[in-house]
Amino acid sequence: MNLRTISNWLFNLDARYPRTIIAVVFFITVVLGWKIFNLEMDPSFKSMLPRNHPIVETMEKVDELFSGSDIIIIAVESDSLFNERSIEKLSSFQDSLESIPLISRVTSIFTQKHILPTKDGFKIEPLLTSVPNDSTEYILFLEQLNRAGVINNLISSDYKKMCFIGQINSSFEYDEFEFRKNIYDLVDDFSDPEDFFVSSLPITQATIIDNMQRDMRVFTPIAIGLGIFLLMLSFRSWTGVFLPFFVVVCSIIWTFGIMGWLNMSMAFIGTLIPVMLIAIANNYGIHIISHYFEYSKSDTLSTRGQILRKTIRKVGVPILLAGLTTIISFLSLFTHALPRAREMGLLISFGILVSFVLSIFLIPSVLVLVSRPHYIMKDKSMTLINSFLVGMAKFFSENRIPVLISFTILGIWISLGIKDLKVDTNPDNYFPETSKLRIANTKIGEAFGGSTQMSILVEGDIFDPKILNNIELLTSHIKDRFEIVTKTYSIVDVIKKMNSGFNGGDPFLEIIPDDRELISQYMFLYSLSAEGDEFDLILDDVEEPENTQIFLRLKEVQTSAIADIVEDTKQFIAANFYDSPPIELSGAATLMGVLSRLIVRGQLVSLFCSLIIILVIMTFVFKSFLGGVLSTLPMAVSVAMMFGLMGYLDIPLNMTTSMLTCILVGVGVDYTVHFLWHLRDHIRSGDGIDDAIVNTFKISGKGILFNGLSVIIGFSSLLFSVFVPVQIFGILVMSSITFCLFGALAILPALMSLLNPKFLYK
Amino acid sequence: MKQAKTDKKISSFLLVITLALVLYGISISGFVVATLNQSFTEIFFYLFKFYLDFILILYVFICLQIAGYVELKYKQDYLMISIISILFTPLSIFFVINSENKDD
Repeated sequence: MNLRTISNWLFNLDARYPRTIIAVVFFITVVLGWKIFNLEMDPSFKSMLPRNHPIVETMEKVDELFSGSDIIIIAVESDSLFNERSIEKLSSFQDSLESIPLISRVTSIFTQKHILPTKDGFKIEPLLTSVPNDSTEYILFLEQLNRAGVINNLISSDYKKMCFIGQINSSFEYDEFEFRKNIYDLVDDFSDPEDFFVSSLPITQATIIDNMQRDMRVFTPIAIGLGIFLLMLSFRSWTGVFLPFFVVVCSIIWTFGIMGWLNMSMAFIGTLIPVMLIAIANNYGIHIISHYFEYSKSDTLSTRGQILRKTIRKVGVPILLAGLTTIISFLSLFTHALPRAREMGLLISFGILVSFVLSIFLIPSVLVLVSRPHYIMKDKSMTLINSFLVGMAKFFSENRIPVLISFTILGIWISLGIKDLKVDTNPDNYFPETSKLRIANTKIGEAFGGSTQMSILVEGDIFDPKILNNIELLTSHIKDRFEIVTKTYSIVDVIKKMNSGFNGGDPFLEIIPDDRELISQYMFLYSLSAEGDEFDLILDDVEEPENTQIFLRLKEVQTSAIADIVEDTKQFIAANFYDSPPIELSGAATLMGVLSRLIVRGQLVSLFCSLIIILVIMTFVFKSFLGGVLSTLPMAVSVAMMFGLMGYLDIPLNMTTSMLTCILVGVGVDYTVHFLWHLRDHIRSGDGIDDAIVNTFKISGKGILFNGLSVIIGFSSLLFSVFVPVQIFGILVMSSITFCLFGALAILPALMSLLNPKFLYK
Repeated sequence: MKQAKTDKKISSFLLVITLALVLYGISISGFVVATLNQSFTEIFFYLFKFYLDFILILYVFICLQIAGYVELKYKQDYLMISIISILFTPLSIFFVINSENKDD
């Protein structure tokens, strides 16, 4: 069965049963769409985590052993923090904060105790016993705060800010959005005259997801509207605008419908599915319509059926190839570290398959039934765009050498931006500097050394001096090596303070004792005078601990720096503690850092794999290696240029932005496949290379141009979002499509005119 | 001819089932029950207050579909008819068609 037989069979089916095909599409859309309303949203960041990752497993272990490792910091700012009214109010705030179910423990000056040397050893006393009444008491109180070591930890150095550190008692099983609401409601109740600032990684993540979803809901319809408007201006016909549009809408409904029927939930990353399909799925329909219109105009004597038959014969294979290569680029996401990204790759591939099938069944069926648009039958219709495209074709083929030199220089210059490309994510930078969240993170970062922490789980006989020395060595190494780590906290700090207190407060004896029994006695003494829950966070058992946590406070969340800390710490542990019990890294920030590096690397590998597979396919299709290279080259150059642009615009390569390369590969190949296939078609019909380029521009160039411009204009609306990730999204989609357009409509014609390759004549 | 009849029969059958499914879906969605105790004005103001964006999108969409019908049926310029339809409501299209018929 050859291609002509298949296209004839396809056309006959479309021509004989058009109404049935349309009704079947409606029916399937309603049946699949039925379950969309049952689709559960799971917008939490944690739902995307791979549960079998070593760090996730350690986090689960930490959740079982201790009362969590994530924290929330709430800072209070006031010119008079230590008067009676403020202290009473903040004490009440402390109680309210502790009553939030997810918070296991709140550390502040209201709960903080300090070790005081006595004749018999030491005693533990609350830091805040009374409110200073006059200036003398106030000065003594400040001295006491300094001695207790809470300055820059719980109180800022200017004494105008105080912080409450809440321990979140679960790493996974909670709703970040509900948690954020509870915290903000509480803070609103206590604000004024004091200012409250809230900072926590889970709250930042929830706010990012919330803002992004809200903005996408607002701007995606505007993007579609603008895209439709451009298609209206381009085709000036209902068929040219709405047939591709219906294909996109159906592919989105079918994809989400399948998710609903398979009881899949929609993660945050799933909001990218409609965006990707809008950018890619209308491609096939636009090419069919564009060719149908062009053949209708150039051949007024043929019937609608004859024109359609010719259209399907001419564009069937290129859109099949375009669809196939795009599906391959998305299936390459199967190598992704995140299960949700693998799922998304499969779903988008399904959506593209649907759009391809609907384009070759639904669109011709409707075109069989409706008359040819009035506008295209006019003599002067499409003359402007045709003249523009013909002019472009002539320009690029006649000035091929200057064009290629100019684009090579431009391409190299833009690609050089790769050297400034950062593989990093700092969620704070997603928000404008004036946003509540960014102000809070900055204030807390400056006053208390940040609100994010990594943790390290240490196993073994924790009171063994050897293990305690290992902990001290490790924390000192990390703190000395990484500027981003502002503070460390572990059982070692407490034991050293107790040893000093036991020896009359001698600062030189703030060291780890050599005797295990002595350490046990210190802990026993401490537990006698304390409430008993002070060590819940750092010891699994106060008497015979087998696990402990070390906390590393970070100035800010920089995934790249976190990943460096993880790699360096692992190496340090392997080199120095190879004969000691296990020491493992844990915490949400640690996971975020490691995963983002893993994901970006994985995405680059899958991008490379898809480029190779597409090269092989196109080599096979054109039966020429040069044909394969020329089909893949514009897209590969576009990828390099997009990474370069990201470097110049200071857009980091992170989980979201690296995934957008799939759009680039998908769209980039489509444009070049269409161009090369139709160019070969014209050459086979007897045209010389330059005439073939002009005719390809005239007949196929419109589809490529209209499709690209509608997506560019549509996504330009995202630039008006106030939320930085949505703006970045817009910039990247627009630049991807622009580079692909230049690749297919400028570089490729100039290259073809210069090389006049043999595979086009085979 | 026989194929055309078969095509119409199958498509009509499928469209009836699809319509029945849609009506069934609306009936079990609770929307009908929720609106039974409300007056038309109340429903109108409720929709206007909370779903103005959807109403506007739906209005433009319907205008563009009507313009498409007029384009294909009466051989009108789609862009022009769409703009008239959106700005002056789809009713204005009847005046355009009537005035052109009179000119003919």
